[in-house]
Amino acid sequence: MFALDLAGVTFIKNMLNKIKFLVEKIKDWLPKAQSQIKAHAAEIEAKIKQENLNPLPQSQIKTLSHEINRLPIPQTYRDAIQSKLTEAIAQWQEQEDAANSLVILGSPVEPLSKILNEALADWEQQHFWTIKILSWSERPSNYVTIKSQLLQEMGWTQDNHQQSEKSRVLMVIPDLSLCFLRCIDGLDGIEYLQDLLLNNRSQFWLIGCNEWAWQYFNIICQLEAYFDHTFSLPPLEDLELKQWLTPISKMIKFNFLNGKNNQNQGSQLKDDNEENWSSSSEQDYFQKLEVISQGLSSVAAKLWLLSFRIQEEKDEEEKNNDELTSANKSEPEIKENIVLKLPNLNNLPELTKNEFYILFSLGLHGELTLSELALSLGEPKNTVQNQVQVLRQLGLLNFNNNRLRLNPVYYLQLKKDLVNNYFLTEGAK
Amino acid sequence: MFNFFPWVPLIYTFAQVETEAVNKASELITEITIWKVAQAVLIIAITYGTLWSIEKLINWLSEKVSLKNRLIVRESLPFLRAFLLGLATVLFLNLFLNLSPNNVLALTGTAAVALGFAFKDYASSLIAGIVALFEAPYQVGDRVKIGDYYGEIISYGLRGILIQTPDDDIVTIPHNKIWTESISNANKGNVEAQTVVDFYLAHTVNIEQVTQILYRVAYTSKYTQLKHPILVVMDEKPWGTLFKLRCYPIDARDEFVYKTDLIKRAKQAFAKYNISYPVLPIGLSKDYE
Repeated sequence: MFALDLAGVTFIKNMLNKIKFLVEKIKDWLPKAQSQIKAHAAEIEAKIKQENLNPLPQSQIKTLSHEINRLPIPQTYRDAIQSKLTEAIAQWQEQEDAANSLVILGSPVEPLSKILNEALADWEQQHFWTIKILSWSERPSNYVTIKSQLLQEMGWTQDNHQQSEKSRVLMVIPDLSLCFLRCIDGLDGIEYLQDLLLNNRSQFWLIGCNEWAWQYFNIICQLEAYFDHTFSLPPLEDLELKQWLTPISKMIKFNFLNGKNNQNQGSQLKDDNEENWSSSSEQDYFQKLEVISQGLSSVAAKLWLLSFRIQEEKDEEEKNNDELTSANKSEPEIKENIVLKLPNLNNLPELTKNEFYILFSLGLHGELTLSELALSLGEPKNTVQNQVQVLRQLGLLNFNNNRLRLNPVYYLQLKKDLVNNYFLTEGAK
Repeated sequence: MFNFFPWVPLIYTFAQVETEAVNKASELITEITIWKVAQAVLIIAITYGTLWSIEKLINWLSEKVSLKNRLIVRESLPFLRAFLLGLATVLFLNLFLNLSPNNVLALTGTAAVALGFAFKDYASSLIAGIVALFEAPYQVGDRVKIGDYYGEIISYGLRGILIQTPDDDIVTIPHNKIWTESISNANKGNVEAQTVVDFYLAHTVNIEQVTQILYRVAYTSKYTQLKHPILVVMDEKPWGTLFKLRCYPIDARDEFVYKTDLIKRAKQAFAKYNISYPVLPIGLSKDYE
């Protein structure tokens, strides 16, 4: 009887705990829901206000885009790479069997070569190491020669292979996806590097690779087994994004669409970091930019650029005159203001299976010429050219210097669709 | 002299049973009115329309959703169809029949006998269709081989399934084949189905080299689903060596273009590295033909 009572009490206690837990969860959810509703309301309000908004002229977008490409890499990336590298090298020097490599992973739309080159520029001066960087900015035109060109470029000889003493030479391959092409003879470079890394432990290796290619290499040649240290570039936070884009935003005089000037001090800031934000609109904007870009610098930069609008406003006096003297019509003076509306991700257009194959191949390689793309798909160049043309018109591809790349604006939705269609597995960045 | 009297109660009893049967039959069938007929026509029209719309909607939706959800959407169609038809049949019977427990029993008995004689195969297919819904030897979207036919199941009807063959022919196969025939299902509810490609090469080829080429062919095909294992196995023939490449396409629908892609690129590589094909002895080649 007593045991039954005890069981009953325990049951009631458990139930009460569960109810408490549920109440806590609801309490926790309510403020979030409230803020979400507010954000939606702000979005709707902004949409209503967007009636007279036009995008920036293409020439201006091109100029700004060029300036963004010239921006130094975000400080967060620089600090993260440098500290990881120092840590991995220290471990390698201290321990006999420690791994002699570090892999930096990033999304296929991030400029990995640039990120690694810039991050290493300071590091070299601080640590007095000799750095040997693979200087390729593009894949060798003949993919069959990748292996021999790797050998030639990095100057590895048989003597290097035999050397057992740990040297202060840092071997850097900024973008591993340049060392392969998805075709029968296009994987020789990767297999060669794999062997080299295993046999040559006298030098430390820093390798940059895009996440999709890394996933592919892990499946086809278990590359992860050769690299103990892998590190993904950290996502950028709202303030970091703002600081990174500040040099460009100083070039333009604009208001946030909610009405506050970018240079004026605003009120009602959400946190105590008032010195970081000029207005609550600015804070809202970068918070949303952080969320929708998932902290990827290239996606955020492109979305930031595309959220500039030109607002046409009639002069207040002219407005009044218009109302009073409708008979005496004269052309009203129109003022053009640049405003920054809240950023939005564009919807991915409906794609065919063949288009998915093309987009996946581009993500896998980072960038490709049309001939390389055709080779990686095992299709004739003409067929691929037609499909690429369609994708370019849809704005999914960028075409610069004869090379095709994914458009960062669509990257996150494309990745989601590729996961849902079994091209990629969940973990890919 | 024939004594008639002992038979009188028996004849009376027979007459009584007959009258009762006639009465019962009239009890089973309710009064048929114009309104009821109109209702029946309406039920048939609504059911037909709904079935047609649902089929169109689900087929459309299954092509719109991602590969991950395609089969889930398609598999719902047979269940929805069975439910709708069942509901319509009950409503229809309820209009014209008094569905008391006794009547239902009598009706099913009569129907069973009638069906047993007249529509034996049809009834067998219907029942097999219902069994197959739950046993699931095949589902919409599966790639199956039943008898001489291989292809993707594109429709799951009440009586049978429709298979789309690689030559784009549509073949109807009754469900009652599941009682007697063996059914080979290549993907069983998954979007991937293993593809096996045979390569016949000369005995003298470098096995290591051929194996590496075949693995590379699979790894570098745009169609390959890399999360599934890729395997090269060998078999020996008197006139050559058989290499079998086993791998999976991302989408089972691409099975034949995938196979073509693998063969095309493997042959290009074999030509590049001078890998020779077997030459059949004259007698054997005739047999082989």
